[in-house]
Amino acid sequence: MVFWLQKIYGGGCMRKLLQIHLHGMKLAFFSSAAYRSDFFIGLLVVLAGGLLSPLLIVLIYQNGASIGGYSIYQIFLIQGVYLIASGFGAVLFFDIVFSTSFRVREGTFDILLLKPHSLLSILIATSYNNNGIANVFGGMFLFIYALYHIPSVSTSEWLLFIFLFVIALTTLLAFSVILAALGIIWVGNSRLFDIYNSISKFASYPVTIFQKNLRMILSFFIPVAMLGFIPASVMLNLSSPSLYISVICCILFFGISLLFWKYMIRRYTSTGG
Amino acid sequence: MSTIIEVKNLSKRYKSYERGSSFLDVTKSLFFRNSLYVDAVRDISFNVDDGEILGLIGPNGAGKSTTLKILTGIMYPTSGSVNIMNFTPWENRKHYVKNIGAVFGQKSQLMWDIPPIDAFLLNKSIYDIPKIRFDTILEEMLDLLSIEAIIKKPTRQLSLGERMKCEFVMAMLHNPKIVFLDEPTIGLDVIAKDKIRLFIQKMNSKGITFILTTHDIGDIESLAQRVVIINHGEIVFDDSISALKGKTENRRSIILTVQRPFDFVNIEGVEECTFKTNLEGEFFINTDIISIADFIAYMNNLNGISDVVVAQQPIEKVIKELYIL
Repeated sequence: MVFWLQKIYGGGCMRKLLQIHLHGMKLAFFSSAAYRSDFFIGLLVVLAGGLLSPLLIVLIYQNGASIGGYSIYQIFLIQGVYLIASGFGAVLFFDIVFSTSFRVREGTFDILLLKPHSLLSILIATSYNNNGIANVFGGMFLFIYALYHIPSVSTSEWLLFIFLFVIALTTLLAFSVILAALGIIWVGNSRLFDIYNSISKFASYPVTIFQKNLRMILSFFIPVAMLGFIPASVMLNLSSPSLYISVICCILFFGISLLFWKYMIRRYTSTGG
Repeated sequence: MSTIIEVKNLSKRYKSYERGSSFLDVTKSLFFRNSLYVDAVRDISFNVDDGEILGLIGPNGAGKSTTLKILTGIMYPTSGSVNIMNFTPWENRKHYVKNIGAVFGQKSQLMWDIPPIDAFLLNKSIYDIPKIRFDTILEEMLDLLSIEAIIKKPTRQLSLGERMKCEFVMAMLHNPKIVFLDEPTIGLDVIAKDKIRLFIQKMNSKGITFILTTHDIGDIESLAQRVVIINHGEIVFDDSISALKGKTENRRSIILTVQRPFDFVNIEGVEECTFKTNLEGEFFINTDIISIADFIAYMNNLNGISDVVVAQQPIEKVIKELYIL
C-alpha cells in the first residue's frame, strides 16, 4: 500500500502530504461553499443521478421481472457498492480529468509543474470535489438497506470486501489518471469521459448476466467489474477464485496508468506565451 | 559574481498543426491535418549571474516564454543543456522548483472563489514553510505591497493590480533564489507598475535573481541590468542595459513645428520621419551623418521653424530595429 501511495505521491514525508491534501480538501469545500445554492443543487443532482439506476431496478422487480435470477437486495448491494466507490472516486480524484483538460487549455497546468511535489499528487490535491459525497451517502443507504436483507457476512468476508474496495478505488484512480493523461495532449476529450461513464455502469450489475467475452473484458482488461460487482460478490457469497486474477489485473492496470501519465507529461507542450 | 544560470545551445522544436478557415478546410481537418514543425528556440546560449536582473525580451512568438518554461522545468527542450544551481530543471524538477519562484502575468496561482490568504496557506503546506517563517515573510510582503486589507476578500473581487501583487506573494513565500517573471505588469496602471517594480528592486537587493520577460520597456529600463533580446528563436542582443541605451547615443528625435507645410525632401542622415499634420513632424536623425545644428538650419531655411523639441531617440526604437532584423 505504502509502495502505491509513494508511486502516486512521489514519496516524501506522509505527514506533509496529508497536510497538503487536507488543505486541498478544505479549499475545495471553501470554493464550493462560496456559491451556496450551486453547492446544494449540485449535491441533489448527483444524488438523483446516482439513484436513477436503483429506481429502475425497483420498477423491474415490481413488475415481476428479475435480473439474472438475483434478488432485488443482491442488486441493491452491488449498486450500493458501486455508488459508494464512484462517490469516493468523485470526491477524491475524478475531477483531475476535467481539471487537467481545463488547465491545459487555459495554460495554468504550468503552475502545477512549479510545485515541488509529484504532479499527480498536486493535481489531486487541487481537484477535490464535494458533490460526490451525495453518492457516498446514497450508496451507503442502499448498501445498509441491502445488508439487512441478505444472509449475515463473516469477519473474513468483511476483511476481503474492504481489501477489494480499496482495489476498486485504485482502479477508479487508474481510470481517472488515464483520462487525465489523455487530456494533456487530446485537449477537449469530454466525450472520452462519457464513454467511460457508460462502460463503468456495467459495474452496477452482476457481471455473470453478460456474455462470456464481455465478462472477460469487464473483469480483466477494462476491469470495471471491480468497481461494484466483484467486491459485492464477496458479501453475497458469490465470489470465485478468478477474483484474485481480477485484483492482479487491476493493479497492473493502475501501474500502466501511471506509466501512461509519465509518458504524456513528457509530451506536454504548454500553451503559447 | 558567480554564474547561477548557464544555458548552452538550447533548442526547442514543436509539432504544430495548421488548417484553412473555410468550411471545407475545417471539415477536412477532422480527418487529415497538416502538421508542421516550429523551431521556437534555436541554439541559444547565455549565462545569468547570481543577484542579477535579466530582461529577456523579444517580439510576440520570438521564443521568450518557451525559454522561460524550459528554465522553470515546465517543458523539455529538444536539445541543449541548462544548469541552474547544479540542477537540470526538467530532470530534477521536484527538487529544483523548491528554489525558484514564478509569476506569470496571464496565468494565476490564486483561486478565484476564495481569498488569497487561503492560497498562501496552501503554498505554506506545499513548500512546508515553518509557521514563524511564513508569518514573518508574509508580513513583510504585505507591508511592501500594501495589500494587508485585501487578502481576506475573495480573489474574484480584487482588481488586476491587487491580484498581481498577491501573485508576487505566492511566488516569494518560500524564499526562492531565482524568480522568473513572465509579463508581470501586463494590464496594470502606472501606480501598480511602480509598486511592483519597487518590490522587485527591494527583493533583488536581498540577492534574489530575477529573469524578466516583458513587452513593457519601462520594466526593462527601470529594472534590468542586462538585456537578452530573442528574435525568431535566436539571440540577437546580449549586453548591459547601458550598452542597449548606448545604441541611441548618435540618434536624436527632433520634433519640428513649422510655418510652411513640409515638402518631401530626402535628407541624408534622416532615418525616419512621421508627420502629425503638414506643419508638425518628428524626424529621427543620425548625428554621425548630420549634426543637429545643420539639420535645424536646413529645415528652418526650407519651412521656417516655429518650435523645436530635441530628445534622445527612445530605447523602444532600437529594440524595434533589433526585432525587425
